[in-house]
Amino acid sequence: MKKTFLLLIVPVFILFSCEKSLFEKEPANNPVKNFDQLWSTLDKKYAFFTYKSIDWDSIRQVYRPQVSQGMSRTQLFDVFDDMLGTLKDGHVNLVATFDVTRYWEYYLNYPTNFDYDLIQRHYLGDEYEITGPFENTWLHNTGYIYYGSFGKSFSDSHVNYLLNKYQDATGLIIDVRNNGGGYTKLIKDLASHFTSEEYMYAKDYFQNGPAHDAFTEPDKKYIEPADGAKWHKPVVLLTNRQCYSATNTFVLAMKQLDHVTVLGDKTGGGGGIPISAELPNGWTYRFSASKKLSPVGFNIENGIPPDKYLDMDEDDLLNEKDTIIEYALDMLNQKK
Amino acid sequence: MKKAGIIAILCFFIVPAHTQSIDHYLTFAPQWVYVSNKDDLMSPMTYRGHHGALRTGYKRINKQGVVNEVYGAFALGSIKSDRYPDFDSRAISTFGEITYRHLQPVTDTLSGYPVNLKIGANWHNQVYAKDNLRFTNNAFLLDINSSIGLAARLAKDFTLFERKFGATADLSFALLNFIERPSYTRSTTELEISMNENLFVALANSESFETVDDYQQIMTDLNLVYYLKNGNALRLRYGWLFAHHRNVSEMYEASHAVSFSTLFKL
Repeated sequence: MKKTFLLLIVPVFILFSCEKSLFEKEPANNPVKNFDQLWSTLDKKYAFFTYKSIDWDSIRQVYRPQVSQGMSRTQLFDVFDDMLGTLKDGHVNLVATFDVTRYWEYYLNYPTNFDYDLIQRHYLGDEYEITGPFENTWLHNTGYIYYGSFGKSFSDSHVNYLLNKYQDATGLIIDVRNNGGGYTKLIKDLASHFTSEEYMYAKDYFQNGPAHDAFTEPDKKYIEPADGAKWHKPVVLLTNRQCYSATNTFVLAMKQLDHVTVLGDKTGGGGGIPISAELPNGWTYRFSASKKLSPVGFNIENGIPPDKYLDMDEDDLLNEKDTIIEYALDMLNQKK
Repeated sequence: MKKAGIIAILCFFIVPAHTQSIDHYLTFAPQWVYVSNKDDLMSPMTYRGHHGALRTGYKRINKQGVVNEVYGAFALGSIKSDRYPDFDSRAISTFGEITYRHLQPVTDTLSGYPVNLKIGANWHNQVYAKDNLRFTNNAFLLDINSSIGLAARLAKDFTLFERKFGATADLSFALLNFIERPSYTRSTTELEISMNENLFVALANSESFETVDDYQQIMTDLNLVYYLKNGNALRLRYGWLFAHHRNVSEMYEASHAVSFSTLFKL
């Protein structure tokens, strides 16, 4: 009986008692190992080293000596912040319990070109409607729609309502200034109401190997016409440097339509799709893991230029006028 | 409800089994599983956690002692890295698996000792999904595996306190594995940006066959069976699984499962 028991039990217990040794050892939690983990993950998976001409090896040579075993976590965080800043990418963040690194120079170094308070007081007024995430009103004989975040979802019925409401207007102003992005699915949901034919609007390339230029074949993205209301009259799409990520892609999709004019400043960019990862000390970080090109091969990571550049005029601001909205109104009423 | 439960348990003890030359059993069991998972696509850290599961199956033994059995289980729980209490790095973890095993008797004695040895094949199929609550676009990870390998079983019946018991120990190694594991950045971003269109394309693009160079899997089972007088049985099972994928990105997984099941003889 005893022999049977041993014969049955012992081999199995030997196997699972060494389970921990079968697993790859977890990296140690010290500043050097955390640095190595962060640097090497980005080295294998970050999508814009080649496009941005970044020599990641030389970046390592600069920052690796700044990391030592005795440094505090805030000192380590600062080194990581500086290193990640060299990527100049708004989709790159490191999240610790006490702070978050970010790169916001893509709009902080440029004119604001947007004043929501001015829009609310002098354009939306009291009578505007809030249709889902869309704040909208008549501006004379033109429909004005402000969409502040692709993080705020909507349904077809919201868009159908808006397009039917303004069907007699001379045109539509869609204002996505300061829209920092959100759900990529909503790009198609909105743009699909402005075309009657399917069209390709972007090509995604995903990093698929450790080499900096190792990408998949293009994953072509299409806009298919929506089932509901459609808009074929002129549209002026208002942009500024804070149009980022999903908004940047929405501008790319809309800009390819003949009846759409993009007006304002270049978008902020953010063409890569960010993914998350984790360091041995528990900090998480995200970074761009793909690149997005227009159908003709234009990389939108650093923004999309408008059809017509226009900055807010200081005098207009003093007179409580939004230069860009005023110009759009003139365009739609054939004055420009 | 409570009465119905008691009656169901009593029925199990009083339903007489049919006398057949081939024995058929249906099993059903609640199961506890402790999962360890170290997936390079998710973290350099090992995530661990408890799961609740249901396990059911069918077992057939003929006169010659040939065993055919199939088991299915579905488990749901969460796993986390317990290294840093400051961070709730938790992932929802769920898996479903179906295992088919065919065993042929080889000998009734081993080194002169009366123990049944059976050998055969083990076909293990698993779908494993993780959703990391701290991540965004790549939060969802999905792996589909179908592996086939060799299996061996040692079995011994014995009497204790005038009751009939049986004990078995199973060991199997995978030789070939078919895997769909969307990997690198494509996996999760693709799922995120194309939830409505090409999840299956992403899976199909990631499929490959792995041999023991890229995939090592060991499954063990320890079973203690208590035979009831009506032919039915109760079974206490401990199962351990270890698997290591090296293809594209490394993943280690291990699970410890304990179940207490009923074996209804048909």
